Amino acid sequence: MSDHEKLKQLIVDTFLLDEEEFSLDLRKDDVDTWDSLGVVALAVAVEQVFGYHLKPEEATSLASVADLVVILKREGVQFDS
Amino acid sequence: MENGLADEVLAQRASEDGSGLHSVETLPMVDLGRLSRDAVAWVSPSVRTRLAQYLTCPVLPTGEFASGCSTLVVAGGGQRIDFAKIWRAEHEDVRLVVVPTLWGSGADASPIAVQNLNSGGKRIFMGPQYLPNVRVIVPDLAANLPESLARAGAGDTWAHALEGFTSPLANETLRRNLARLMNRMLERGIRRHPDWFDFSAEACAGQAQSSVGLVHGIAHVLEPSSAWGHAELCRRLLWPVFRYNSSQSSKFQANLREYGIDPGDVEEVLRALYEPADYEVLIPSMVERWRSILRDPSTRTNCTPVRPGSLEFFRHEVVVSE
Repeated sequence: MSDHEKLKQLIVDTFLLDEEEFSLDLRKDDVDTWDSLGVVALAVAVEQVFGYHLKPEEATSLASVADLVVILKREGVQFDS
Repeated sequence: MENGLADEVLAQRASEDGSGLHSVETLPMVDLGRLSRDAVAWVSPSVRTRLAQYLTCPVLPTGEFASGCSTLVVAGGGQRIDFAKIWRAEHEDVRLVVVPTLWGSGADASPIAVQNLNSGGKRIFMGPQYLPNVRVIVPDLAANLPESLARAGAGDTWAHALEGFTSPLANETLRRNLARLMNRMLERGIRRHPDWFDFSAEACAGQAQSSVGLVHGIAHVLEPSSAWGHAELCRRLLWPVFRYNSSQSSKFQANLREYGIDPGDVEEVLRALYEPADYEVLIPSMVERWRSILRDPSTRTNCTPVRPGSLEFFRHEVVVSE
């Protein structure tokens, strides 16, 4: 599974979305399950899937999936272009 | 998870619900006579005779009070105690003395009260106003507790302690405290001993500082339509969820070891509480309600990710027969 596919599955599973709802532009404000508990669940999932421990300020400041991609790319995760 | 994120989430929750770290004074049985002066009591019928020698106040039907009395003594399980806590919050000048007759919920030492609604749902009350003033442990009540209730209560206590410990919201201090608690529970074993009243209270207080996880997420969703209550469900779900978490991350058991707990010892206890035939009965409900289980707040703070596809583990990878 590519990193892009892993990310998609992670976001869909964590926030209980339908696959069609995923996009890199998906914003926190548009997802009702992206609340404080969602942030916790996201951090747990990111660590399990990508092995990266989101810093508290990173996790709480994420406004979109794109923001998460920026962080993961910085940590060496390769996403399909 | 780093403490900073956990602290922020917990602070937000604390400001929302007023919960926090509080304590309840624990007094010995010999004080019960003194405590029940100028009081009325609500007492579970199953222990009324046994407690009669200690209580000096009139016993009224639960919900009734005598004006002019300053103290309410409540002896019973979590539901009766929670009812009293909710009642007392509306009568702030009444001192609340609780005598737990069951362990598991930790209601006797918790700032949380749960009201079961006629619709099958639950309403949760949180805040220091829901803490009893005093708790009294009567050792004799432990010795005479039916075995089935002792096992269910131990299951609820283990669920609180283990899920509170493994919660991504737990900090190092809490983990150390809950690790010590779990080792005491391992040492005591599943038996009818008054230590379990304190184990239950400490476990409940511990998970209130972090969160619970998938055991509670499943139990919360299945309870309204299950023949089993919360504690019985927790008892039956502990081992399957332990196995699930172990399969998802090597850190799950490594964390236990890091704090001086042998995961093998824990698994042995949880396996002893598990009953394959009963688990098999739960599976259809889990399948039907899996999406609701995923959305339960407790599931969302489980120590390993729980996904739509995780259901297959519970359907096919948990041993369902000996």
